[in-house]
Amino acid sequence: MSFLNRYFLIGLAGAAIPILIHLLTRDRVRRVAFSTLRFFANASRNVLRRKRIYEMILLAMRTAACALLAIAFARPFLASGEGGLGGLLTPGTARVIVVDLSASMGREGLLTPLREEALTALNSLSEGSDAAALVTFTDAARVEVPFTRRLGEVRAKLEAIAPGHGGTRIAPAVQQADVLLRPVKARAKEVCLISDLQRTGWSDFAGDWKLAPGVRLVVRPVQPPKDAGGLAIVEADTPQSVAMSRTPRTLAVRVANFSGAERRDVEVAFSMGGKEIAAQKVNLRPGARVPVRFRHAFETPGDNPGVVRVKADDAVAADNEFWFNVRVIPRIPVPILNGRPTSSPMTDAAWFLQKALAPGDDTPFLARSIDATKVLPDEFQDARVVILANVGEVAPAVHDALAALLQRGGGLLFLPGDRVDAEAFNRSLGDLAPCTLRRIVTPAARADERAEASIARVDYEHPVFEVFQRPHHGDLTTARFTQFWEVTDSQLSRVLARFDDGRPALLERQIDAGTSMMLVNPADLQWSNLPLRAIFLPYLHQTVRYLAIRTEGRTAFRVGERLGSHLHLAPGGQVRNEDVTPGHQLRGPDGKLFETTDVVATQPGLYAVLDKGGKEVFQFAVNRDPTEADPAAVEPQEIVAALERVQGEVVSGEENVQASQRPGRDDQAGLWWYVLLAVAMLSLGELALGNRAVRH
Amino acid sequence: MAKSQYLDFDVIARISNMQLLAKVVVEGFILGLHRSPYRGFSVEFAEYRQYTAGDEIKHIDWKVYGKTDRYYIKQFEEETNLTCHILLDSSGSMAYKSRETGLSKLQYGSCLAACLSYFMMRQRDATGLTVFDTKARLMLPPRTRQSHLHRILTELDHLEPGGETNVAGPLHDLAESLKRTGLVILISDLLDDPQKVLSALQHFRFKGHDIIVFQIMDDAELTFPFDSMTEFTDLETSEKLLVAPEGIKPVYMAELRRFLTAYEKGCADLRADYKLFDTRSPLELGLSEYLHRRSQMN
Repeated sequence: MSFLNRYFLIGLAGAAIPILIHLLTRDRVRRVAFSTLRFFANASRNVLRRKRIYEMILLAMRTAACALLAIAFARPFLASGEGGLGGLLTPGTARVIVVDLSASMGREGLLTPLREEALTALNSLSEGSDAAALVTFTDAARVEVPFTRRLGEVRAKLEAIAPGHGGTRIAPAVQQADVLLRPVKARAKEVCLISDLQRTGWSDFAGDWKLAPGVRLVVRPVQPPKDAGGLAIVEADTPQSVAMSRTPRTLAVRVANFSGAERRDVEVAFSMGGKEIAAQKVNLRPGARVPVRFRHAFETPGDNPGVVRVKADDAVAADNEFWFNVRVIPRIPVPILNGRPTSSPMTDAAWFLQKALAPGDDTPFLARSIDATKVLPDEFQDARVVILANVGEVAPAVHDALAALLQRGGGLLFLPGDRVDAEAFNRSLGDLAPCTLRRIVTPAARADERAEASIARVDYEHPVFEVFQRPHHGDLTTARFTQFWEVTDSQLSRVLARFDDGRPALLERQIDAGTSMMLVNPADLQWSNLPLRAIFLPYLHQTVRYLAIRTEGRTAFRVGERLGSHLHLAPGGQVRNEDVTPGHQLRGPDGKLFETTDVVATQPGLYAVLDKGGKEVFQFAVNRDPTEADPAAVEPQEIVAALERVQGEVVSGEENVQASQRPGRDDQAGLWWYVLLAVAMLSLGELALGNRAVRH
Repeated sequence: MAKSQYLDFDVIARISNMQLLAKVVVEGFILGLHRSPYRGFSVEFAEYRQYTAGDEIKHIDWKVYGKTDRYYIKQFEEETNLTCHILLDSSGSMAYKSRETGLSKLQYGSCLAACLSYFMMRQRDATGLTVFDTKARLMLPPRTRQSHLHRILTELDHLEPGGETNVAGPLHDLAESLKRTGLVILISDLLDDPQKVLSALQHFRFKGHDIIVFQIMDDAELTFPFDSMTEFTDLETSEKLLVAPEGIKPVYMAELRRFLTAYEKGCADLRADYKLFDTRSPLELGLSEYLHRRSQMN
C-alpha cells in the first residue's frame, strides 16, 4: 500500500489519544465499607467482566477510528503489481538487472563477461539496505527474481544463467524492469542493462514510451571483439506445403560472413533424412551476404524434413543451420457438378472454376467437370470436396451421396446461378446448403454508376480469408456483381462476406462432420466479373483447400514460439486447425518427449508429433531467429537517450497510456473514501456500544 | 429529666400528644392505658351479670333492680399498664453510615429506642431494653421507674456495633425468656434470612406479644447511589467485592425490593406492625407518621 500524502501518517500518533484518555479517565476503584454484599454478590462478577470487555472493545474502536482517519487523509492506494518489497522499508537503491540471454550471447567468450558485469552491478549494492531484481530476456522478458533485499538470491540466480536460442528484444525487457520499479519507493531507481546490444534487437523499438521519471538506465555492453563473428544463415526461403509434383521447388538461403576475413570455398549443403542431397561452395568477403539456392522435386507425400548447413568451423555452430520441413500434399480430386454445360466459356458455369483450380500441371487439385444431370453417386466416393456450379436440383441418389460426403467430413461449395429455381433447390438441396434461396437480386442503379454490387465486408478471421487480410494480399471488393441470389434461413450459418447492401455474399455452415459453403453467385461472366479478378484463383484455392483439408498446419517455427496453438491433428492423421487428439506426444530435437504439444520451442531442430503408438504423425522445423547472427550493435548512449526521461518530458503517444493509468491510480487512491466509511461505521458502532455499556 | 445524645426533645415534642397503645390485651402491674385480661371494677363499664351469692351488695345496680325487680351486678373492665420490650440490633451491619447521612443505622436505632423508652415510660408503661447481635449482649428488664429510663439511655450511649447479624437466634431466645405478654419492638436492619427472622417473630406472636418491627436502612442502601468502580467491603464479614455499580444497580434494587417485600408481607401475615426507616429522613417524621397510623388502626 502506498500513500499520496504520506505526511498525514503522522496523525497515526493520534491513535494514542483514546488510550491516554482511557488511562487518565478510567474508573478509579473506590473503596466502600457496606452493610452487606448479599444483594449483588452473584451478578457482580459477570457485570464486571462484561464492563471490561465493553471498555476494551470501545477502546479498540476509538483507537482504530483515529488511526484510520489519519490513514484516510494520507490518501492510501494499492499500486498495481506491488511486489514483496511493498511491505519493506524504503531501500536506498532499487536496481533491476536486465540480462540478455539471447542466442547471440552464446557466442564464445561472452558468457563469462556477461556474468561478471551482472555480478558487478549486483555487488555495488549494499546488502540489507538496497534492493535488486533480476530480469532475463530473449524475445520475451522474464522476471527471474522480483525485488528483494536478499541479494544472495539474485547472485545465486546469476551464477546459473545460460544463454538460450531465442532472439533479442531489448526494449520490452527494459519496459518490464520499469514496471517492476514503478511501485517501489527508493531514493534511487536504476535499470542496469547487460547485453551485446544487437541492433536487430533494438530496431523494433517504436519510441512510444520512456522509463518512469527518476529511473536511471545504465547500459553495460558485453560484446565480442570486432571482426570476431563467423558465418551464419541469415535468411531462408523454403516452401512449407507443396502439392505433389515432379516440378523441382527452390530452397534458398542467404549466408553472411560477419568475420573480418574473407572465407573462400565455404560449402553449403542441403540434406534430407540424413542424406546430403546437394552442396555448393561459395566465397564470402567480410560482411558479404551471398544467396545459395537448391532445387529439389518433392515427390514423397507427407513430411519431407531436411536441413541446409554451412560447413565451416565457426564460433557459433547453431546459426550455420536452417531446418525445414516441406509437406507434400497429394492432389485433391474436385468434382465440379456443372448445372449449365455449354460450349461457350462465357456461359459455362464450370469452365472458370476448372481453369482456376488447375491452371497448370503443378496444381494440388484434380478438377473435372461433370454434367449435373448425368452424374452418378459413385463419382463422389473418393472426393473430399464437391462444387455445385449453377446446379438447381439433383437426383435423390446424388443427394444421398453428397450427404454422405458431409458425414465423412468433406465439403460442398454451392455457386447458384440462373439455372437454379429457388423452390426446386430448396427442396432438393436445401438440407445440404448453408441457407435456402429466396430470389435473384439485381442491384439498383445509382447515379452515374452501373447497376452492380460489390463485396463490402469480409470476415478476415476465417481461414479462407486470413491470407488476404494484409494490404496488397488480395481484395475481394474489386469484383462487381450484376446479379446474385438473396438467401434466407441463414440463422445457423456464418456469413463470411456481405455485399455493400448488407446481403450475405458467402455463407458457411457445419453440417454433420462436413462443411457447406455458398457463394450466392455462379462465378461466371454473366453475373459478375469475379472470374476475371486476380483474387479469384487464390480465393478459390483457399476455399477448396479449406473445404477439403481446411488448412495445413505450419511446418516452420522459431525458437520462443508456443507450438501448441498451431499443432492440430485432424481425424485420419491429416493436419487441421481443429482439436488436438488427446494422447499425442511431442518429441524434441534432442529426443525428449513432451506429454503435451502446448510447449514453447526452446531449441532449433526438427520436432515431431507422435500418436499414441509412438508413430510420427507429422514433423515441423524450428529455427533460431536468423537475425541473431548479425553482430551489429547499437551504441549504449542511443539506448539511454531513447529510454531515459528528461525531467518533465512527456513522450508522444504516451499521454494516452499515462492517462489510462492515472485513473486507475486515482481509483485506487479512492480507497480513502472506503477508509472514511470505515471510520464512520466505527464511530456509529462506538456510539451504540457506548450507550449499551452505559446502560449495563 | 435524663439527658442523652439520642434523646432528641424535638422528636419528643412532636409525639408528645400521641399514645402508643398495645393492640392486643396485655398484662400490667398498675392501671394504665392498655386493655387488661382481667375484669374488675374500674371506671370502664363492661357488662351486667346476675347477682350470685357472695357478690358485694355495693355493686348491685339498683336502678336496674327498680325496673326489672332482679339483682344485677354492674361489671367494669380493668385497664392496665404495658410491658414493652425494645430489642435493638447492634450487629456490624448496623454500623453502616453513608456519606450523605449523619447517623449510622445503630445510632438512628438507638435514637429511636431512646425516644420510645421515654415515650413509653411517660405512659407509665414498663420498658425494657435488649441489645443483641449474634446473641443478647444486654438485657434490661422492663421497669416503670424514671431511674430505669436513665439507665436505658446510659446503655444506649455506650453501645458499640458488634459482629455478624443473627437476628433470628437471639429473638427465639428472648421469646422464650419473656414471661409477661407485652409489646415487643424490634429495631434492626434485618439483614438476615427473612424466613428465619419472621419465624422468630412468629415465636413472639405465639407467646401473645404485640410486635412492632422498625427496619432501619441507610439511604445508600435503599437507593444505591454509587456510579464508579467500587470495591465494597462487608462490614460484618470483611469480604471484599469489586463492582461496576452502573451495571449491578438493577440487580441490587430488585434484590432489595424482594427483601423488603418479604418482611413487609411477613409482618402483615403475623399481624405485626412494620415500619421502614430511612436514616436520611428525620426520625420524628417517621415516628409520628407511624404513631398516627397506629392510632387510626386502634
